[in-house]
Amino acid sequence: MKKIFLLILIAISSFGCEDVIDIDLPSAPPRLVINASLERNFQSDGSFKDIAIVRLSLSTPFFSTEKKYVEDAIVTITNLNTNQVFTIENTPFNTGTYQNQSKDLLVIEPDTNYKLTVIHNNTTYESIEQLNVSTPIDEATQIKNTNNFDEDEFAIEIKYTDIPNMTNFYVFDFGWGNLQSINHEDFFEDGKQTPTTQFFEETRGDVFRIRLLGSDKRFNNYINALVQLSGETSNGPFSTVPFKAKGNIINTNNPEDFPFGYFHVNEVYAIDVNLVPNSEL
Amino acid sequence: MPLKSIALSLFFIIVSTPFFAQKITLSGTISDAESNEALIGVSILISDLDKGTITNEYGFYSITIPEGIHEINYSYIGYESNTIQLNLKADKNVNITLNKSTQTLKEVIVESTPKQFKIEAPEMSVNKLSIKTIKDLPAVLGEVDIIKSLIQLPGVTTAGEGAAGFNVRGGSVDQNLILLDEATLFSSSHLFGLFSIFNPDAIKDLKLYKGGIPSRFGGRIASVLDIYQKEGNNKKFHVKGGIGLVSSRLLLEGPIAKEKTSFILGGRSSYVHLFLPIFDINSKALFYDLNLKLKHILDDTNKLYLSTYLGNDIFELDGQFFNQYGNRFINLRWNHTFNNNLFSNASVIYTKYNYQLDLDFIGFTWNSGISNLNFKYDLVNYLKDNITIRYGTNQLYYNFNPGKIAPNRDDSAIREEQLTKKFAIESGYYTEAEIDLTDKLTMNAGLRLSTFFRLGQKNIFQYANDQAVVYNENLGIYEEAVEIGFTSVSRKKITKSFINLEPRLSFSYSLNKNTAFKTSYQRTAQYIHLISNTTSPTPLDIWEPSGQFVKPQLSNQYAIGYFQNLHENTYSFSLETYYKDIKNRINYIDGANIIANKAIERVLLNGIGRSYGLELLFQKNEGRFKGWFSYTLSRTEQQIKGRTPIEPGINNGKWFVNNFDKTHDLSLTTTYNLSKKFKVNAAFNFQTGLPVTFPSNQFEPLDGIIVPEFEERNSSRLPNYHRLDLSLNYTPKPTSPKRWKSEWVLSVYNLYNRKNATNISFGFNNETFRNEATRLAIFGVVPSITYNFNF
Repeated sequence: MKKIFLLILIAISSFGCEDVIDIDLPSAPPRLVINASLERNFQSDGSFKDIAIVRLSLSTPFFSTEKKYVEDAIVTITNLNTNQVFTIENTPFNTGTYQNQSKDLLVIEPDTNYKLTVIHNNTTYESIEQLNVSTPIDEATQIKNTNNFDEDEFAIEIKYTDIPNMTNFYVFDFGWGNLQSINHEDFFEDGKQTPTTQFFEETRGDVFRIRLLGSDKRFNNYINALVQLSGETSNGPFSTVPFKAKGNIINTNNPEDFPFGYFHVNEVYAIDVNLVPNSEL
Repeated sequence: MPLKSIALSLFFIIVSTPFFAQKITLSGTISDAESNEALIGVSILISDLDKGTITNEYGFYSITIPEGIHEINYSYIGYESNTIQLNLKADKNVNITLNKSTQTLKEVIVESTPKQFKIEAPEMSVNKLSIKTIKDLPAVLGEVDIIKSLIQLPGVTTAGEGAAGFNVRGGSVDQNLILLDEATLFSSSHLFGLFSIFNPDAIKDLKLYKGGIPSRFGGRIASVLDIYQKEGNNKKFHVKGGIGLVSSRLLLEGPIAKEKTSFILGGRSSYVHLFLPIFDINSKALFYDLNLKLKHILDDTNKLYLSTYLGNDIFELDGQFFNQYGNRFINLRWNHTFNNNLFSNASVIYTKYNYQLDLDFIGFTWNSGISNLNFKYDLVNYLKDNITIRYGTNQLYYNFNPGKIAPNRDDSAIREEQLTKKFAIESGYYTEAEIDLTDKLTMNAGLRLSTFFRLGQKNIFQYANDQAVVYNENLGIYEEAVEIGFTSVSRKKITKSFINLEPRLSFSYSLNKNTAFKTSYQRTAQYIHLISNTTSPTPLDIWEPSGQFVKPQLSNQYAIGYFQNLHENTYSFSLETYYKDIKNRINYIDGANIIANKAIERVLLNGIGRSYGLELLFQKNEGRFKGWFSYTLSRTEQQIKGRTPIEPGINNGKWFVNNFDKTHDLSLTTTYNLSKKFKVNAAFNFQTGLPVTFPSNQFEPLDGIIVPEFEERNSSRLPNYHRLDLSLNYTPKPTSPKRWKSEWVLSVYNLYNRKNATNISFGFNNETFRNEATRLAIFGVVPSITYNFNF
């Protein structure tokens, strides 16, 4: 549905005029941003590779180009079924990245509660989530883009089969922050193969990786909120009223001082597409 | 009072009447001499008695006066007045035709507007615009626009250029009752708000009630925009048209049976590739309007009218995207005059708004809309010389279609599904009396009883504690509740009913013939709500009826004003102030998904609103130089508190300004007749910048997604808005005796090319790798040319 607004905006912008301006913005104290992902990645050999990556940073003034990473936090993930605690250790790259150690043998299983704990500046942040299962991508083929508006755009037709007998939520990750949530809740045939054609503005390399993440309603809502707030339709005449995108992580010491970010546990299937120029199709 | 004295007083009244002159009633219809088009608001003055009245929406008037010889003066701006002398001995029907003053070779007197105030009537907070004035306003791309011209009036604003609809005294767009020939329209815009749907050639008259709304109107709480289409010339065949940059218009009118039956058929269409590259043959973007009206005079006391309207916007992009939406209605009316004192009108109206969207890349087609069947019966009783009573009823049957989705490709995984349709009956019963209490004090008192019955439907969801929205205390966010069950109720049963009494009261106290103080109170109720959480409404927004989870909006408005006509009505001046409160105004939880939501109640919060302001209007009504100056100082706020002390509501339950709040709103609109051939029009606007939500910080919650941290809703403002428009009308041969008449209109919108921000968006630029604030200015300087003709 977001695309509709984009098309409407194209219609309006075609005779409107857009320019970048300088503007004074209100100021606010920084918040901790926790980007915590626990992924069970399907491998070509049929096994799963389980990875925990947590990125910690602070929010910065909107126009600032400086990144503020947090390197001095303690990050753990607890399997609440077994009470096994995994320490997610800071990597030496000064990018606020924390990763699980392969020696820890972290295994992500369905129907298990995982608790994320981040301790920073004597404050404890927590979130509890379960694995969301996904489904393989059956097919992904580049097709000729007949859209006359943007010849540089390329189009990919993707087919996947919905998991039957349950309400499923998925998130497509096309890389570079291009995410799209899909709710197989109301309008889709349950368990049916679903085709979708997606259009992309730019290529970064010849191989295009598509990842399909299992999700739930709250994570899909969160993704939608982020896309809405950061995307091209944000704050336009047809944008929804902007808001603070709160995630699922709480500050256990002072709930008012909530962190940004999300703790998500996903099963992931991926597929690579070799891209060719539109004219060669 | 003892019974005896009552009897005595009654006796005295009855007996005493003959001592005064016998009263008789003079009534009739007033129309244009050339076309027989009924004229609305013609003043009828009995000079020797210093008494008068005006014609109603159908050109009918009735006045009760003592018998004898009287001089009766019929006058209407833009027309030559007509004075007749009558020796009245019994009730008499006098139909009058008036000649347009432009037909004479005298100095051209162009009708000015907003028309000067009728000082003695209690009517206040009402603006009338003649179609002639509207056509003189400089317009974007030369497209004459009724809605945009309303914005030049005090108390009327929009949420920016390109925003759909208009806001009256802090009311939202869905709180305006827009009537075209008495039929309700659910949207007033083409192209998302860039142009309005009214073909200016087909419109006769319009009136905007911002307050003091008479009790005969109901169903919306902020305003009534009452628009009448022409009836068609029943003497001669005429063609009128125009060729513009955006659209072309053609209007035919004439008699079917001379002086008995007339028709008017109007069409307007934009060009197929509006704003799209012309070479792209697979895509189109256009809008069109069709208006048809028939009038049939059965006899002196019976008239029949049939009005229809059909308008659509169509967008098609390369077979991937198809979008069509619009209004339509059909309206059959019967005017019947029972006698000199009693006038009636019965209408049956069917109205529909439909929205269709086909998205090929997902493989579905979507349809949503609203329709209603409306039966109205209104009576006007000119009881005595100082009392006019109106009463009537209005019955509406609603059908709400929140949306139907269906696959449009063989391989589509979309399952056909109809979101549960909703049904309701809205009824109104009213009475209204205009009474001259004393020579100086006039009162209009009205009472409306409105009821709303929500009917049964499939899939009525049930929630724990009856709460469709739950507050997640842990995460500090509102979330959609999950249903605990659902019921289905037959459509013949009422699931929820609402009853409201809506008193309307206004007084006018005339200090003298030219000065009056007026005051009014109104209570209004609105039972249907437009679900829209965007800055301005979009075509795909749906309407939600009141029911178990959504309560009717209720509003009180108090207004007081000072009105003055100067120099024999050459100038007029008014100053009004108002205060309004609103209960049960819906708002939305953060990130609410309102599109194709099968249970919209799960994203709605309940709030209140208030609005207050001061409006000033100064007009020069006559002469070569005419125009008006309008200024509004106002504030419009809302408050959405949490339902329990733990819940924050919105903006922590504090009052905050609405999307369209403008502290200062000033406009100057002028017309200068240089000669019979040339006329110059200018309009200047200055407005405080609209409230917006700006970010403070940024954060990256997922790799590659940079999100602005937005501050409290509407806590910042856009830069101030100002703009000057100019237009020049050139009539090559104004006095030519030939039938063919033409006119060129050259206009420049936004003359000094001010880049007024419609909005400022915040995002990450993938090329500069920086966050940027981007200003969108919809219209820079826009010159245009339009050619109009009629014969």
